[in-house]
Amino acid sequence: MSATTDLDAAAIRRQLSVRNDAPFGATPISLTRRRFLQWMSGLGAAGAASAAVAPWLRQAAAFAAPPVGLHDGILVIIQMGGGNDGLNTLVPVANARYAAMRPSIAYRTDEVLDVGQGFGLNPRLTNLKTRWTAGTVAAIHGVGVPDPNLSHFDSMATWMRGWGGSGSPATGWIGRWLDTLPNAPTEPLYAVTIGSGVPLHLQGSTTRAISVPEEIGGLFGIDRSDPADARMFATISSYARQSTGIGALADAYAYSGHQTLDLANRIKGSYAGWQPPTSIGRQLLLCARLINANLGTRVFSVSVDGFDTHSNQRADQEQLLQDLDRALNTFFRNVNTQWRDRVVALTFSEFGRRPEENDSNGTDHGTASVCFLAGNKVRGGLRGQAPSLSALDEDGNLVMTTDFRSVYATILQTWLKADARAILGATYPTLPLFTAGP
Amino acid sequence: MVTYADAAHLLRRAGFGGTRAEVNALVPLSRAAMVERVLDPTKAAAVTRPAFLDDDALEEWEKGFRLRNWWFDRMRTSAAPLTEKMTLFWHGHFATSMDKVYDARAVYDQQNSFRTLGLGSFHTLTTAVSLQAAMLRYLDNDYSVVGSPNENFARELMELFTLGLDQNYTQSDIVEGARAWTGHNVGDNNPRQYVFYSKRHDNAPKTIFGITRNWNGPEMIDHIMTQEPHKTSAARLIARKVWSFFAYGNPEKAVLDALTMAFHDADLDITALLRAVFNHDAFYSDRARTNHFRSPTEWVVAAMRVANIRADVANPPWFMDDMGQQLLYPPNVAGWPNNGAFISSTASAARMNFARFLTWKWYQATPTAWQSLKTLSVNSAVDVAYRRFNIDRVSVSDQTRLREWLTAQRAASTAPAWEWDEWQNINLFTLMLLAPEFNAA
Repeated sequence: MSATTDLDAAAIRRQLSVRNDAPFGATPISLTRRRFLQWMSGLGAAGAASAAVAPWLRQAAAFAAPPVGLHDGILVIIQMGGGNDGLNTLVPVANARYAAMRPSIAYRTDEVLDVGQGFGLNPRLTNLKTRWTAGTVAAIHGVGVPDPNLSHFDSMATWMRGWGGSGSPATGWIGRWLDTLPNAPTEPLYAVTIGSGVPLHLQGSTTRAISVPEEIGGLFGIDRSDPADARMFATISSYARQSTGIGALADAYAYSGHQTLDLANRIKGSYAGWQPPTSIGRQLLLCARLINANLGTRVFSVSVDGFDTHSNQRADQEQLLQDLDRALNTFFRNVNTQWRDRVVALTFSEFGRRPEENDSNGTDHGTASVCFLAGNKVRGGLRGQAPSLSALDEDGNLVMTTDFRSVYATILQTWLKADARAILGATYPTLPLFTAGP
Repeated sequence: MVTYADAAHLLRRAGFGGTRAEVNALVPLSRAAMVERVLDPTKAAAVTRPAFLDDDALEEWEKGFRLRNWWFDRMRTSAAPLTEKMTLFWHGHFATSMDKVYDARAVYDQQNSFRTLGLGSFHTLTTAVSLQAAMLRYLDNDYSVVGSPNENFARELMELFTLGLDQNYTQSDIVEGARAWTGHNVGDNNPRQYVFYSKRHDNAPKTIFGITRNWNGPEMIDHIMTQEPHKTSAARLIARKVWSFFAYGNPEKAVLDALTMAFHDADLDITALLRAVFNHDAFYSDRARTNHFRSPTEWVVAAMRVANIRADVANPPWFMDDMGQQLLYPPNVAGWPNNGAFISSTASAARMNFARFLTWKWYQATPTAWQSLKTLSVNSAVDVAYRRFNIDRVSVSDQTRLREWLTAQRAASTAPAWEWDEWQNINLFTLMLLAPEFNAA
């Protein structure tokens, strides 16, 4: 049963931020529901003593994931929250039905940025168009879920879970990939969310992603300019200097506090310098700087909300797309040269919107939408098949032409060099999205 | 007589921690008498239904937000905190989430069942929660009707709520059980009201637990709670969960057997189980004292108690997603894990941020509260801070770190490179909130 009300995207993301439950040192398990529940019920029992202490005693080295290899791909996932209208993003200007269904909000041919085959980009995506011309942006038509549900919550959960097998795991598609990486339970830096709460798509069974705030003020321990603060942080860290003598859980807690402050110290440099004026700008710039810092991170997750354009769509969506366009541009320009061939960015939204406009110069919840994939190794161009504007579903919504898990499968296989079938729970046809691997 | 340490330990686990005075009041008693004092629910404040629940101007999520703060304040101020602690336990056991139910009144009704029935008969509690909108909606029984039964509730009723995975039931019992629960829905015109629609109920014979008859859903609960081997399975499941919640996970066979028997023989009376738990020697063992980590809720409430700050000022929900526990929003029907699962860098950062935020609210509210500590020696000041945080089990190494810190902080408060004198109190408060002794307690 889905929530029938229109929840705020940030609230949904919070609710989908399944908490990072894996204790230190938990062993990976298969994802059957029963095993999952057994694991959940056993967590309190799961020798918190031995499991929690072992890595604390083992880890002598500084706190970081193994460095990113020369041919390891890095993925930046950009979540467009609210349901981005694909038809006004990748615009089918040559299709007469488009203008007929949207007398008020349709774009004219001369307004959009031409990308061929009767399509144009939203006029605000100017930087993206430049990269399009250079051949490093793919736009995937009609990406959706097979049994669309017009609920923000349900749809976002489906996208993030990315599962094609039986049952409904409490993990996300990237989380399940992270689970396969070496030392997944004890390497928190493999995946980083900018913001608060680790979203479902980064949640694995054993892996521990972390979240870092968008701005420096939000992370405890980053700002050591005040000597009293610095002294306090040092003391909190020092709780871990030796065993507390009051139990393994106390020791594990002390150690994680030390780790947190150590992490803050390691990444605080990434907050220095110019800060973009928008949230998505700051998030993506921080990603670029963290990539440059080579902390071993393979996946970044950022988000921008506001795409639920039930009214006043053109102005609102244009502002959001402009902010995103500039932020993406800032991102690629700030990733250092040696990383540029190893980085790719993916945009997605929980659904698209109805082809027919509503009475408020906006659109209501819909189904399929466009995904962009941008990076030096991307095979640029229009991918997949444009969804039909005449053969709609019984609700008057687009029928998807690309299963979202095909996009995931392609990225997993080619970019992350992973076993897509194992991670997604089923096999999906891949798309020609890359010219080569990382 | 009991030791101070024993009494403090009981008040921490059976509630949210006790002040020196509260602990001292128990010390002259025998263990059994102390436990009876703690089990006594009569000092709990009467429940007045919060008015905001019926305020149509509020969105459901706003009501949920206020309901959560209302609950935090009950936990913070209750004179019979075990009632609220059990409400928390049952919320994690009969887990439903506002994100799916999305109805603050229905969620409140469920929570109130936990509060008013949570120390009584497990049979009565389970029946009440099962014939309620929040649970039926969360587990998709609200539209389960004859001809198209939904198995979700029937399965969880046995697997998670009463028997345990694969304990004396089969897949067939789930399928037939789903049929027995058809018609137990919510009102067509009032989805927050449980309604039994007899015309939507499957009235044909069903075979459940090896017995063929025209089973009706609630009769499954009756059977489980009174007939063997199910009654023993139920006793064992809850005994294990309760012990894991209050003492430590993976109880020894002898301990679990003793608790199971006590609970079973008292016809699944929850207070009888708790009496057995809190009187057991193993509850006061070193293992019990050192294998418990305060869940985010326990830690936040203990912190707000010490700071004496209300929930709508401290705003714990802002921080608790990252801590790993957002009340009213369990991650799934299995509720929350315990202990080690709440330790991670993200969670630590969230506790640090909340500690800082709460410290400021405390200082703004009572800026002179700790002034007297400034006149004490470093060692005495640290001891007083430990005492005010009701920490009776001190880590020698942490204590040494704090003494070193305070010495350095005081030295920096004098000319020529002076720092604000108040830091020695304000930062000490934060350091205590984040001390291992206050988190693993």
